[in-house]
Amino acid sequence: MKGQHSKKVITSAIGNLGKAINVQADMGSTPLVSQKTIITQSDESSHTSRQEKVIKLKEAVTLTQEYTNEIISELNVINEEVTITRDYADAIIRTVRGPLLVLNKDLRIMSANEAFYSAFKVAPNSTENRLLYDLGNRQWNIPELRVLLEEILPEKNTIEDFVVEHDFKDIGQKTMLLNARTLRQGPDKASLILLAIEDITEKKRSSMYTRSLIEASLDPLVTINPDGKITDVNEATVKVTGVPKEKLIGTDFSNYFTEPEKASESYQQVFKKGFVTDYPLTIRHAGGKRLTDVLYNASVYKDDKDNVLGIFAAARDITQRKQLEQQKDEFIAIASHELKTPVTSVKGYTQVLQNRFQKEGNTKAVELLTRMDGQLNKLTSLINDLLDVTKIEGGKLQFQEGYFDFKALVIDIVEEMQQTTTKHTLIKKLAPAKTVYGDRDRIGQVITNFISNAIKYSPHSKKIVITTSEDKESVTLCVEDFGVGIPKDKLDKVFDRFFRVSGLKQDTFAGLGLGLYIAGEIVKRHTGRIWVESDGSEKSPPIGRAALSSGRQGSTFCFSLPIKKGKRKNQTNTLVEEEIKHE
Amino acid sequence: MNKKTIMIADDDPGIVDVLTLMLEDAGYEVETTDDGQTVKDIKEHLPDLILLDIWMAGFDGRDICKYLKSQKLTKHIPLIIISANKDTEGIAKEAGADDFIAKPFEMLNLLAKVEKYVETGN
Repeated sequence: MKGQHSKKVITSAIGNLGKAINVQADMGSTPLVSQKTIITQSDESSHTSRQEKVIKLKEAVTLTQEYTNEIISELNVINEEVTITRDYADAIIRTVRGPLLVLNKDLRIMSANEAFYSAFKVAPNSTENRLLYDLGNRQWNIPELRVLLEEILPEKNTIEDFVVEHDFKDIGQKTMLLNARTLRQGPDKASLILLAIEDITEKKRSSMYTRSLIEASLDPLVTINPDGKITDVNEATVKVTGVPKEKLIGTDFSNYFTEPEKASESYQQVFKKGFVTDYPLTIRHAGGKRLTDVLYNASVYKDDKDNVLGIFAAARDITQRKQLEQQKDEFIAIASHELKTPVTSVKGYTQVLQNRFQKEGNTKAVELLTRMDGQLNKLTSLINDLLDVTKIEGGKLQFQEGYFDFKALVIDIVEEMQQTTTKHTLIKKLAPAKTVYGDRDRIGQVITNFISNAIKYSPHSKKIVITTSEDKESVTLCVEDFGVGIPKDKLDKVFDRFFRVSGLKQDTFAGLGLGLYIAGEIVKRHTGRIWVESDGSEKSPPIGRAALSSGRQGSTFCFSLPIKKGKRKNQTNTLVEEEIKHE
Repeated sequence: MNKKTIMIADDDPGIVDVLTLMLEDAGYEVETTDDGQTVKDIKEHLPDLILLDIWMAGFDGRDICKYLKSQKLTKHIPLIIISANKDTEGIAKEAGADDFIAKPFEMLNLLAKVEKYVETGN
């Protein structure tokens, strides 16, 4: 190294200088070296001529001059190097964005950077060469800082990530993160202290803000790392699991659910897709049997380089919602069940009367009673729809499955439905008979629904076409009408609960909007497929007037069913609904 | 020719009344009760068929059905369960009833079923 080289040169120069001074001492002038040497040498001096002495002295002076020059030039080099080093260090200090101080061993400030001045509102001229503690009217006389710098640092030489809080008179409460290092340099090992002071007040405030947001949530919140371990929880999570925070952290997220596999599936899905919404799980309380039904909404969180760090998951307690829904479903179930009894009586009386008038030959009365019976059937099907919906929602829709003749079923229903309309002719285009596995009555319900919709939504047309087709694995049935059709943007909604074709004359089409929803559920439960095609215009349904004009109108509703008994989501045939009791 | 007797066990007067009208019009003798115990206790004058509601105050129609079907004296009597429950069929099967009728029902359907069991039952 250049510095070391210079040192050697200086050392040898000092040695030579010593010799030159010895020569000078021989001349009997100011004794610079030890008295003893001078005395011994002064004995010899009498033998030497004065001229020789002058020559020697001159030589010595020249030599000294040379050595001095050499030393000066070496010192210049060193000085230059020191300046460069110092400029270099200053440049570093100034460049660093965080506040940085260089202190000498007496804790006086050698240099500070702009970040320090602006963060702590002090001026350069009142900073340099000052004792650190004296800064800003001795505001920096912080006991904790004194301990760090005077006791810990001299012993360990470094301080890492030490948090100091202090209420500064000028700039208020600050939280500082301190990092320091002792640098020893020079032959005397004078130490310098490099002190980095990060102002983490805002960071701390915002993390406290975030924390209080998290804690304020009544929903259990949790963060999970990519291994499925819990990394953080809020108080709501502690409450719902009955496990203290420190025991939750580091354990498997899936531990706390009635279905651990489903729970781990949930976070795997989040890591795969980036999020999940309304993922149903049941949290088990450690203290006993208390279970909490929740819907999880979760997404991954990332660092600034887009690396996934973990999952943030929020659970919504839906226990109460479920209870309310159950109450509502029970109410509808009871209400519709209760409605059925008087309807049964009225329908019975109607048929008794019908029978009696028939015997008397009073055809007019029979005709009226037949219409009345038709209306009662409509009422019954509305009640049944309500019941079915509550059963679907409660997962209690039951099937009596078996093999049946699909074609015969279609023929039965088409005949039955033909009775309900005088305007329309139901045209059958049926494939040969085929035995299908399923619930005959429920499949019949779907066909009835398709045909009654076709009748309802094509008040100005005369025909409805029922087509069946089949292949090796499935049968398909389509009901085509030539009525108002369905706007294209609504096509995907027709199987939704409560959907109804609305338009200018929506009141014309009464109904609960449940039929297709139920049909959809029935077909789905048979692992079949249900769909609709329609030529309804996009803007508004061509109700009435438009339907009269020529051209293809209307909609076609279809479903297909697998022929064979397949893997079904077969719900148990336990008799749940009977719990509904007559009063 | 002796009239066949049908026993109706239902606690809703409207249903009992209308069933009675239908069955009497069709030429049957009708006995009615709204009490489950009465049905369980039948020993003399056995009916030719029982129409049994699933829910009667204080009684589970399934239990009555299972009981009657377990007794030597009554197990041969055709028993049809009537209920507003859509799964009447499943309930009837489980309880060992001969058949079921779901409310609301068609008169012709009811009469056809009754006739079928009354004719073959004896």
